[in-house]
Amino acid sequence: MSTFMPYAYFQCPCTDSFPQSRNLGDESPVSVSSSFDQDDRTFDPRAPRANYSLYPLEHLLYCEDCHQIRCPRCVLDEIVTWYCPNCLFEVPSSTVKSEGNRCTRSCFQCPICIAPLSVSSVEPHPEGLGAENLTVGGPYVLNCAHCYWSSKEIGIQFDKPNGIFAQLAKIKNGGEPIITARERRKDREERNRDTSAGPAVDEDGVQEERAANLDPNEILDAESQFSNLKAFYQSQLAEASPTSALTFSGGDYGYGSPGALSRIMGLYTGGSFADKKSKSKKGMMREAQDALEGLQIVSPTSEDEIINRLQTEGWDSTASTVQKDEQSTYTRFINDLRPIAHLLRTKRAKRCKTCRHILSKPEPKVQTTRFRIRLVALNCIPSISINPLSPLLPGQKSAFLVTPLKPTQFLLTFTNPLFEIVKVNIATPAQTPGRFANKVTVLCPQFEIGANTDAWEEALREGSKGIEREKRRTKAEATEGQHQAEAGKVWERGRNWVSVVVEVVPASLSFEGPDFMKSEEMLRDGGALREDEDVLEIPVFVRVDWEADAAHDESGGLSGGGRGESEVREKRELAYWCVLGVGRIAQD
Amino acid sequence: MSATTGPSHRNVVSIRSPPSTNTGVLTSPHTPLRGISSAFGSPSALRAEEDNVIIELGSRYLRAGFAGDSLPKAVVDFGPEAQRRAGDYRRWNVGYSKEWRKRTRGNDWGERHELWEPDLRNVDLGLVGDKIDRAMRDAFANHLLIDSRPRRFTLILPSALPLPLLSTILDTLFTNFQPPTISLLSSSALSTISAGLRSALVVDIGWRETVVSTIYEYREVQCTRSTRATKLLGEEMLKVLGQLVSPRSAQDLQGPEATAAFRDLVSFEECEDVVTRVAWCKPSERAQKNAPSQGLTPVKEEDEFRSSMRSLKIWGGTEVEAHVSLPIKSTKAPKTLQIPFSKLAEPCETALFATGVSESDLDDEETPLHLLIYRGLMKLPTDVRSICMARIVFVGGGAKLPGLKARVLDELATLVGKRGWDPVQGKAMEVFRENSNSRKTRIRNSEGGPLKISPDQRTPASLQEIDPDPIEEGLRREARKHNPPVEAGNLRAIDSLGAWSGGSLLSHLKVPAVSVIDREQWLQHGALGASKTVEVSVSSRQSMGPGAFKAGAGERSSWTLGLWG
Repeated sequence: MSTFMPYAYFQCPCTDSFPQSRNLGDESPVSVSSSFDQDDRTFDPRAPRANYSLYPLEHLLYCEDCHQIRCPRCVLDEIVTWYCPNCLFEVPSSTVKSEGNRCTRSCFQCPICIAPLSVSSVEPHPEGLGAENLTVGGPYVLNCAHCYWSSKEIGIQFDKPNGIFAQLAKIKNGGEPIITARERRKDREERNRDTSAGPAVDEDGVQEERAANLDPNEILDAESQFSNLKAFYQSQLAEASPTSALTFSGGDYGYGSPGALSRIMGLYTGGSFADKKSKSKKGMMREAQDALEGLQIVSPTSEDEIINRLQTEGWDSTASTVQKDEQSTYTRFINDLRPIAHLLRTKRAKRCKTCRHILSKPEPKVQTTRFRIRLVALNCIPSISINPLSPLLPGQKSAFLVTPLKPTQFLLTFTNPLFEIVKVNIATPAQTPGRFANKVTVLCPQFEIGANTDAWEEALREGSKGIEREKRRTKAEATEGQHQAEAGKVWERGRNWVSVVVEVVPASLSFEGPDFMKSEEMLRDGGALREDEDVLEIPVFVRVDWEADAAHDESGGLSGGGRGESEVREKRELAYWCVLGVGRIAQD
Repeated sequence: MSATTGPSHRNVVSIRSPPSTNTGVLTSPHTPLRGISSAFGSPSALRAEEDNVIIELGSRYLRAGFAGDSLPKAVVDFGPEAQRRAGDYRRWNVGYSKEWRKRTRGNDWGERHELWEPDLRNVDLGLVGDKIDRAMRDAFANHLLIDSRPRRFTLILPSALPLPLLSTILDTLFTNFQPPTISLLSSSALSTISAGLRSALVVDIGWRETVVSTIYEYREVQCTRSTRATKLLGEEMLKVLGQLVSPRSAQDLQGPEATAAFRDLVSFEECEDVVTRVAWCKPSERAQKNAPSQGLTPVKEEDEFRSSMRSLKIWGGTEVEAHVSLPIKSTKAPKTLQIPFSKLAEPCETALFATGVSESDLDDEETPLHLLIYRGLMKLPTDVRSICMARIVFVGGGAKLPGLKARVLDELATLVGKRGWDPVQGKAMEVFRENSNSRKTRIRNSEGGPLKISPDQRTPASLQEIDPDPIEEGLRREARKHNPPVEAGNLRAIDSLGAWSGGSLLSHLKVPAVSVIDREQWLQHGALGASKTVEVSVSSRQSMGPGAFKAGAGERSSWTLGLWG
């Protein structure tokens, strides 16, 4: 990568509550000593598990009741609305439950390139005067504006330009109609009835249309095989054990069933009431017999056609892994791909897992991006930014490309978003963990950051220039040509920010050299440079404490009269690990 | 996504209400069971929402969805891109995909795509938990679109999952998602159910291993496994591609060095893409001779090389071998490989069928597929074998390889025809078999002197006609009235919807799982709290009268991990 942007990741303190890493080989997974060591243990940003607990500050929330950082793993979600990202239509929750997680209108994605598809008519556009007033009729197709794919390629055309989802559900690729679950059910009932004649009225009150006659050996798709199987098992369960209906109907006591009724009667009459027929019938469930019951026998020649097609049409006729992943069923060929209905999205409110207070709540309206409540960590904990201390030298490509074994200084700027003065302690391990041990020294590990007061207030204070000048003293020295940061002193200080210097001696990335110079881990697994190993990452333990109004959070504006009470100060403390990616080590 | 159509209010009804109101054969009037989950038996589908989330975990994918759906709504893989830090968007960088070599360094082939590997000594269980947690969140937030309200989970697992892994999985689910209960179901049994069967031989051609499990009457009777699975197939494909990309390195290097070199030539993703798109499986020699496959007729052996040529003639219709062009982008410079079509079937030959390796050279854990199934069947009792051989269910990623099912069945038929169901085999046995007839008569002649044989006893008892048993006959006839005859004794493959759909079906039908773990109890005791009775007595399950409801409500004192305990 040519460019490198420095970054700061924060570890949510909830990580401690997660199960500890352990391997089966360890003798004692959780011994007393290891849990004791925990506080001393430095956090290794390169450990594979670190990826799961580190977040950019923008992803974190802050619970004002627990006074703790909350990451996506320690919040509870609550869905506010479901909506289609394409048409921004708000979908009611009942529809989500019954219709699934896709947009049921006309929003589709191209199965080839996932660009949104548009509905257009096959008929040519009328030309000439007043053409825009004419409506275009005729069959419609879905078109991709990006790759020019059209649903005509898979032989699908629609009669109406709207409600594509419903229309598509009835057509197979190639244009044949799909036998819907409803028709299958009709057919099944028809078969079971056989003797009873006359038009039956459906449960919906709809006159029954002629059910399609189904072939007992047909090859079913997953959906219909499932529905056939379901019907089969349901009838088998009902048949096999009518008396023990209770077992299968969950909370439903099933008193409506004659079987259950006779069993209850049987309780008093010594079982003679239970009719013998049902007893004799109470046998095993049988297996599915044919396709109508969901049985699909593989014919030995069924796949010859696929191989043949592969051979003649080659690579380009097959769907790629990415395209396959988007499909709901397994598809091998491009011709079998179907337009993808847009996946719905949600707006979610977040609650703290411990105290259940709402941390973030968006407006329920789809179009607005505003939040009603949003307690982000950005407003509560100091943010960190990284800059190189020395200006870019002529031969240097990037300020963040550091030379191995050459001490390099970086400026960490902490910005305080709080309205209180904050004390910050930072600590780093002297050597970063991992195969390449970089030496790290923080020149000023303890400092105070001014409150995030009004900008006006500071402007007013500008009058007392003397103090300001005093504060900027260290900065002044630097500009006078003294490029030496002093240990124990803040480099630069502003209204609500402080810069400190951290000095890094990057390790050499070469694997050559005598063994005694290498770290223990390097000897153990040797080998080539892995991904991101050349990035200079420093784990930093940050402790922030400040004094806040105790009443501030709890009762907000209510404590109008009790001004004196709100004067009670409460000490707050936060401690967390951060990972600072300061630069990339140059490779020789 | 359900494919039902029409206005939503009608759909709710059609989904929830029983599909058949008349269960034809029954003579007595009978109210069918309702598939309603509400505790109060309310027919309102909208209120009856305590949806059960079905989760299937494999070594590479997590499938999740709701009970009653035919297919999982979310299939999440454990690929390396899913394992990055939050807010790390480097995969959208220009030229990111070109740099895959740097990323795979120091890893085994395909290791970064796995959730766990079979050797648990190298597995960081905490990491497994993290991966599952992230995959579940992804599935819930983006595909299932549900919030973190507690829901019951049904977990589908391979039947031989090690206890530490199981414990990690349950820990993760219970602590991070707060389900009140988790039911455990075994994937092989569910594959049987979703094929509509009671008994089956489930051949799960997975990532790291192929597992052949025998399910008899919904119970796992036996399980054999082999390392010949999709991973090996991918590695073989990598070799084929590597040799084409750089023929020179293939000649210079040998063995593991060559494989290592190939790994840097073509990326894992692309290799897998090739496997899923164009790899295929040659038909067996017998099918190539165009002989109609009938029962168990023995077939002569033929050498392997001619087979590929012949297969092409049969299918291609042309004398010239067809070439397929594969555009490969992950090489240093993008290339289009021209590869003979028959070459694309070779990885399957070497990886799954171990062609060219004699049976005696193979280790126990690397038995080729057909042999694995054959041995699995042979160990079974005759009755179970005859039922199961007619119900071979292929599941798993490897089963999608075109031509594989037919090939395995053919190979199997050949084996059975050649060896019968005799565990003893080898050269000596063959010689013995040839001579057995003559020897038998010889022995009889030599020993015939003092022994007096009555005319009745001339044929051994096993070869005698069975006396007709009128009672047995009557019973059979009676049974046939209710149950149609059971297909048995010939080889037959059956398609299954897969374990996930089976789990969805079962929990939709409210069939209770043997192992239902309560959250409180798990958090209190962990895996140690489970009672060790693996075999749950049938009587206790059938006697689930009204008392069962109390038990179902979580007041059970003892619980079990079932198969996994």
